[in-house]
Amino acid sequence: MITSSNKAEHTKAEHIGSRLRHWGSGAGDVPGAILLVVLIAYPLATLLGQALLPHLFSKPMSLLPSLAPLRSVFGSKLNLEALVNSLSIGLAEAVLAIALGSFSALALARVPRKVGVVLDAFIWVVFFVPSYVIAQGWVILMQDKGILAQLTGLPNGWSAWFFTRFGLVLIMGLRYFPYVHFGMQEALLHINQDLVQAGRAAGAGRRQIMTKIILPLLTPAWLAGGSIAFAEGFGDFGIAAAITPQAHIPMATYQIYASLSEAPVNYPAAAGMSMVVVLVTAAAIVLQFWWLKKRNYNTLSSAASRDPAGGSNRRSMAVGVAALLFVALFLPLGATLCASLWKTWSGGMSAGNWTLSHYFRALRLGGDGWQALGRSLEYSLVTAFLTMSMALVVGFQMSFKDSRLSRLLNILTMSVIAVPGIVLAASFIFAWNAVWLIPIHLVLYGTPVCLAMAYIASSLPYAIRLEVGAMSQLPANILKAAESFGARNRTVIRKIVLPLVRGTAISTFFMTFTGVMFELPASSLLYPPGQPTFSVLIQSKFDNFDWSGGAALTVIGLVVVFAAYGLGRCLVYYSARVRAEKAQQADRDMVPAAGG
Amino acid sequence: MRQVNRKRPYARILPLLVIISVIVAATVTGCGTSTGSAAPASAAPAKQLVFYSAQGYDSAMAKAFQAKTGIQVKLVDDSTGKIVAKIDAERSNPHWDVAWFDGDSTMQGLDNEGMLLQNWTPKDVSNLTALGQSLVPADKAYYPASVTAAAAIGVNTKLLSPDQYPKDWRDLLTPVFKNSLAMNDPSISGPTYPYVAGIMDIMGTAQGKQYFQDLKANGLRVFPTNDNTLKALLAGQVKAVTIQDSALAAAEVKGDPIKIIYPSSGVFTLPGVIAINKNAPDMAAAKQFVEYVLSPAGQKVMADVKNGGGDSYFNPVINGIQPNPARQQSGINWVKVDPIKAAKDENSLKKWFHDNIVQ
Repeated sequence: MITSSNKAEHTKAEHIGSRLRHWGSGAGDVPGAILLVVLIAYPLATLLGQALLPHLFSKPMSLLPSLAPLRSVFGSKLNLEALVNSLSIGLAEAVLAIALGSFSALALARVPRKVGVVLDAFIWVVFFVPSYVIAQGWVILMQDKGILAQLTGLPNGWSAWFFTRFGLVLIMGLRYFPYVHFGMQEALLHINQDLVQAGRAAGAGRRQIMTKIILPLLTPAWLAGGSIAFAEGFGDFGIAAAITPQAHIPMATYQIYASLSEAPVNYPAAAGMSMVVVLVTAAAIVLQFWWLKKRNYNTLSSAASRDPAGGSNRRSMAVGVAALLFVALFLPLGATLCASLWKTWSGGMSAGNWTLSHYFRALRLGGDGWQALGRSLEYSLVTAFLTMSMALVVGFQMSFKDSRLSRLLNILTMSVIAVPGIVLAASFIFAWNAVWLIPIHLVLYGTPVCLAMAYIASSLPYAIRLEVGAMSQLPANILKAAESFGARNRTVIRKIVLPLVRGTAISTFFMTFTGVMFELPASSLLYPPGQPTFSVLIQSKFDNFDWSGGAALTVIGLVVVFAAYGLGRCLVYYSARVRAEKAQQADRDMVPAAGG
Repeated sequence: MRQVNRKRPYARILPLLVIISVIVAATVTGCGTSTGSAAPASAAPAKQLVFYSAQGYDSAMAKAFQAKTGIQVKLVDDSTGKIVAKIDAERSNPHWDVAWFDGDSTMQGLDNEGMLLQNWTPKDVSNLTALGQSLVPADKAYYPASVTAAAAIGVNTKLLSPDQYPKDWRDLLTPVFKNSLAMNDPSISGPTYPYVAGIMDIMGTAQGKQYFQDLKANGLRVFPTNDNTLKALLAGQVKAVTIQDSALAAAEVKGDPIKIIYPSSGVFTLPGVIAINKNAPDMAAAKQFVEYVLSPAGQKVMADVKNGGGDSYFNPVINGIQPNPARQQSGINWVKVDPIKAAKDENSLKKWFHDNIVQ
């Protein structure tokens, strides 16, 4: 799973976009469109196409259309029930994520800067940690005779309430709130203080300003973050499989997995169900655009705001976020950490059951293990760089070109988030192993390029949303002003757009970097034979019931990722300081010159 | 103003550069590897083997074979479900030479689709034991390299006293196992279907279905895969599970309190089966590899726990092979599940199980 944040304020972008509709013209959005077609639309089409052309990849190939797969999808009552379940869980979980993310973003804007930086970094960690670690951690913690029961002597059945859809919604909400948090955080900095001042002047209280001014102004931000949370929950399989294994809530993705384990693998049925998943997500996104379009959120100001708040209030805010992080991160991660230190799984928390041997074993990976780690680092670096660049280009086009094509592609890329990773990965096999590619030597399946493309395809939607969000913060006036001074577009992008979205670009880089390290479905279906990735290695430990070994490897991978992230943050901080010093130096130089 | 903007060299050049570099990189790499595994249509000059497997000892086997023959083995190791999904997705342009996983009805499914090399006989095939011989299909599309039980009963020895241990499948219906028995969902977990099909075999379809319904009435829990089920047993959430015996053995040897019980009315053969792609890009190497796996040297690699973990606790199907002493070999009543019939009934039986037991 690729984790990422979202700062999309789409309508703002569209609003500016529509004002700048004539800013550029012609074929400007074609390169971005080609990218999205090659990376996302074409592979998805080869898979979804099988819902209508079930023999597209049979041998011999047949283009005979058939409605049978779709009929079987829509004819089954169970599928309908599964869809309703997925929808309701996705919605409930998105609402929770919005509530938690809004709270954490608003709270962090009020706490002292240093505390804020620390808490913010931990929210990033929530973001980075692979979903399976969180899900597994909760199971180890909460199950009968789990860690909590061992520590406190709770009787069997105490946690039955947890392993239901309520627990599922809770865990997903805690897992996905950072999407909302990061979206809101950026938007919060750019709240137009004039409106807040106006509200104060008119005698509005703190609560009124929050509910009547600030939260409504942030609607695009929390809706955008919430929509990613919804798409994630709607397309989830792993967390549901871990948390509700016996309550058995049939979800859309369960139906897709079941058709993938039919014999022979029923790709047309998986395609039919995936098509429904894509359509529902697309509908949700369109609904969101429509909702945002009705209002005007173009209230940007360039001045950063920091709401002055009383000391005790600040402290309670910080404590609140810390408590949220304790539940969302430290409990499940701690449980996994414990498990990676157990001699035997059944021994649990008992005194004699602790060992570091799994770590020693994991570090003695041998040549294969280190090679896999190196390989994954390489994939991570390359795809993170490419994803960052592409998201910049496509995000720029989507923000400043209000063409139908770009809107369609935008909806498509978002819908991809809800498609289960295994389906997207399988679609890459169909797309890049197709017989029509053999004569032109473009069978990329089986090469590192194909895997890298799949990595980019699965991280690009998040990265684009993030860039679009950041670019929607750019006041159109600045661009117009630059224009009327005769600046060319090249200059506008280089001098204005790039510097202003630099932070976001770096975020997308690390998001992709960490996502790729732990990405599983594409890695396992697409890795070139003989060249497994680190995530494949971890999974094979779990497949062979070496859970503690797998947990130890995961922890090692996380340490690598955190180190990379910390290094990146230091670099950003350092370069910002150097820039600031240079600017100060320039100012100092100016003053004597002016005086003399 | 617009005049200025119509010329947007930067905006146009940057994306173009990115695209060009991607396409160039793609083409170069694509062409570079198309002589290898990427385009099986062309003959491979270097001797190599593309090997898809879900067995724990596959990596060690690949290395041993490579050391012996000099043929480079490119391994894809994954769960059976993913291997089959991959093979099926590749079907119009397959890359693999040899596939190896547990479950002859699953392999039979690939054979039914016409993907496997038929009527080829490895040398030394007469070395197969009687059980082994019985597992070779009539069209010789795949060969057994080992046998495990699709399901045995695993009990948590901390939670049950020896006199409470079940002896046969029907003992699991007693109050001792009320709300304390778990198994996997055959719609999601690969080795579980042969177990369900096997119960139908030994009890008869109607009674077999009734048996699972009675288990459900006694509080049977159905988890998605071995992973959840085994953890539930080890954590003490349930007292007994019915899953593949090699998974139980893997936990047992790590020191977890597990006792494996082979029910007296029979356990169902889950052979580890190996097959060659009908259109294998490296056919000669593939045949050589299968023969190596079935040879005493290959079997020795498999039986070493350092290589295969839990998968190494199998019952040999080759004469003269010393089984791993930690695994019970005698006193197991093997019931062969007909893979052709099992493959035919698979989807309808899975659906029945889902609608009546999982739900």
